[in-house]
Amino acid sequence: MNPILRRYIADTWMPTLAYFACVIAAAVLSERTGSATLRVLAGMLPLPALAWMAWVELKRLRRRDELRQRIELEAMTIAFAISFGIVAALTFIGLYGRIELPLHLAALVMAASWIGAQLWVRARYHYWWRQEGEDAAEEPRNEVTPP
Amino acid sequence: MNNRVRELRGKLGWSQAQLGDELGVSRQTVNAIETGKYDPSLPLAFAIARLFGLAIEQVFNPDA
Repeated sequence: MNPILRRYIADTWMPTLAYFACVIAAAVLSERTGSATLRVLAGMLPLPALAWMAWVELKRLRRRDELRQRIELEAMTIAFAISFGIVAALTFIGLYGRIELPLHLAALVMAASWIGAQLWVRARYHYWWRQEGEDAAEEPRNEVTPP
Repeated sequence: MNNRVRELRGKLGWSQAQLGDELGVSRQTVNAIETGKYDPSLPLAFAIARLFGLAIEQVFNPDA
C-alpha cells in the first residue's frame, strides 16, 4: 500500500469509525424517542467525533512541510471566501426569491469550492497529487546539519 | 525576494530532491523557492544558508 495512504488510514481510522458509530446511534435514538428535545440531542451525537476528525486533520497538517501547509491554508481560505459568498447569495435568493433551496446544497458548494481552490493553488505552486508520493514531509523532521 | 539557491545547489552538484532531504522539506518546496514562487520561513532560510556555509543575506536578497 502507498505509505502516505497507510499513514492517513492509521491517523484517521479511529475518529472515522467513531463518527459512523455516532451517526448510526443518532439515527436509531432519534427514531425511538418521541421528545423533540431528545431528538435534537441525538442529532448532535456525531459532533464530538467530527471535532476529533478535525483535530486529527489539524495534527496531520502541522506535520507537513511548509509549502504543503501553505497550499492547504491558501486553498482553505479561498474556498471559505467563495463558498461563503455563494451560500450567502443562495440564502438571499431563498429568502426573497421564494425559491426552496435544499440545505445540503451548502455542503455541495463548500466541497466544490474546496476542490476548485485546491486545483487553483496547486497549479500556482506546481504541486499535484501524483507528486505527493515524492513528498517526504509526512514524518517529523530531524535537525538540519551542514555537510 | 531573489535567492541563489539554484546556483549554490548546482555548485554542490545536488538535485532538488537531495537538497530537500538535507533540509527536511519536499522537492517541490525546493523547486518553489528556486523559482521564486515561495519565500521560505525564517527557520528554513537559516537552515539553507547554514547548509551552504553562508550568511542568510548572501543567499537571500530581500531588495530584489
